[in-house]
Amino acid sequence: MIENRPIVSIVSHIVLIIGVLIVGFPVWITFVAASHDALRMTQAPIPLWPGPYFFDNLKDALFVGLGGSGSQSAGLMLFNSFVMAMVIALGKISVSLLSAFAIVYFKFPFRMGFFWMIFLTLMLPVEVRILPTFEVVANLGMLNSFSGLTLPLIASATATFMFRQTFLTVPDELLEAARIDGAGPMRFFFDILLPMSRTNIAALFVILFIYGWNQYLWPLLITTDQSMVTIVMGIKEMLEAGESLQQWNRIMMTTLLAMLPPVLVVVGMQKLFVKGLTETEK
Amino acid sequence: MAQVSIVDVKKSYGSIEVLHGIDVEIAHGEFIVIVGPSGCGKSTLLRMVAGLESVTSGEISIGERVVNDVEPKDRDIAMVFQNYALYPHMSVYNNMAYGLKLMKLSKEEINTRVDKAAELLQLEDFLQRRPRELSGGQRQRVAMGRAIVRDPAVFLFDEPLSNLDAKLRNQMRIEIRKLQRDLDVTAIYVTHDQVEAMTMADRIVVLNDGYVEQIGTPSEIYHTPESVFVASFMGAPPMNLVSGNANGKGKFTIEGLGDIDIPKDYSFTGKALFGIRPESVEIFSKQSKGSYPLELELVEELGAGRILHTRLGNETFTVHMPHTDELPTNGLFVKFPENAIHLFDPKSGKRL
Repeated sequence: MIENRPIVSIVSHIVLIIGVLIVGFPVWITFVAASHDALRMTQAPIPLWPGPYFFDNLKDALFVGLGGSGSQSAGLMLFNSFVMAMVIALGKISVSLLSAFAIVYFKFPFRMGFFWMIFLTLMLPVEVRILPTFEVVANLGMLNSFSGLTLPLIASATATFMFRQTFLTVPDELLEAARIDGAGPMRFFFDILLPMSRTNIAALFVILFIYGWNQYLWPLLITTDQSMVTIVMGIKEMLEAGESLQQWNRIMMTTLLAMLPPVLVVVGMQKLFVKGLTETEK
Repeated sequence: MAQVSIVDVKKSYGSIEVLHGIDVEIAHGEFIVIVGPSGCGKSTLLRMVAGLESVTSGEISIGERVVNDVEPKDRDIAMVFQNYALYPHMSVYNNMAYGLKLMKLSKEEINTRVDKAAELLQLEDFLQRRPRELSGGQRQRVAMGRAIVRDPAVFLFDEPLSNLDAKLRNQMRIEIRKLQRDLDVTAIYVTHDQVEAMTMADRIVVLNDGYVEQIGTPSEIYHTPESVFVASFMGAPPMNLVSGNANGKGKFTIEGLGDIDIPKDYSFTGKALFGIRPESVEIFSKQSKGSYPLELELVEELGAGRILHTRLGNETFTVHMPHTDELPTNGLFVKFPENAIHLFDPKSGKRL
């Protein structure tokens, strides 16, 4: 804002600070809980300040998990989640890039028909088609595998649409100049389109990585093998594990660990992310 | 040697024909300007030579080779686009080198060629910059450089100067012309700007509505326009065209004014258009034999001269006067030198 009125900026800062506190409090509690021992977490009132056991809990959560049969260490779950999120994000990006490339730059029969078919799948997220998808994945023998975890989630109408819009802003002369320079379609794609869409790809990667990381229902459905558990569903299983009391310290530590990769991705790619969503000049 | 010949070339989009049989023969080393109003098909014709548009019928050959079905990269051409079409994510060097890399030339060869072009275009200091860090004129040069390094037989220009300001345009006009002459390549240059056409061309092709109106040297185009369209399109201000009747015996009757003497060799009788360039008329302040009164409406001062907007009888009439001549204050009379008079058929628009 251009005006400079102290009251306005004070009020807006207060509102923002309140917002930050509301969002930040649960995270703080998670952090506090992750730094006490199991016993302290079962006593009321729950602590509001960190305790001394943070690194013990970190070690236990990463390498042991809850202990006992049928529980996994956070290390393995993090690995599973990471592979799943990466494959989903990169897979979605490559498939969408290629399909957008085909739709924008090639003339073939029913081109727009295909585009709208892809677009229609926006209305069919995993949750809607979960039974048939499960059937297909089960019949292909992909239960309890990374391919089963990721493949059904890879096709993406949103990303295809976004890349289509990006490609449409690339001036035709660029394609023509490349043709005169002797670049075939795939060369044009890799040498010119891809680098020009760099920021869009980065922005999309952030969104899709988090989308993949946060998958809950689908992994829950198709992984029965404990070695394939992802961290988001793992946390929920930790809550139900055994008859004993919940070990809040380790559960919260695992939660903290689960939050870390998406946060790192967002923070690390923040600049590219904003550029990719706002930059229009080609 | 790279002559270009365009023989009976037609182009249709669906059922709409946009080029109706174009014939142009271009000699090696010639600078050809294709000029015409927007939508006349001039860019389409150029893009067909480049291989970016298919040829509906007819034949285009470069050198001795028919290139109708040859890929653009194999046609031995280079093209400079109106908006430059530089690759935004590549440095100036890579923009120029990209085509050479795809030709699989050796690193040293690429280096020498790019350096040579950069030197020629005074781009040495900018080789590592991105196009967006350059000014319009520099981008224009990079686009030229990209064309030069390919060492083509034919240069194609698609309105390359229209995004530059007037001063830079004049300068680039001369540079392009010089460059083309030094490199001894054939050039086809498309523009809608008749000044560019007049100043740069060895020969001009005037295109209108998908038809060739006239092909000729700038002087031919200017002094003996073959049609009303050429007469009014080339030259600023355009040629005066006054309708009237020719009697076939050296008289041309303009309604409300009287008879004008025209050369005796015009045998045409009937309705015709009388044309004369604004700078070809003679201006007097006193009535004399063979002069006609003009009614002054507006004077435009140009510095090097002035343009008088007047009425001749019922028709508008422009006169271009050199600044050395005094502007007559009381009374304005005009004489039409016989050798500057053109007659056109108003129906076909052709020269008589």
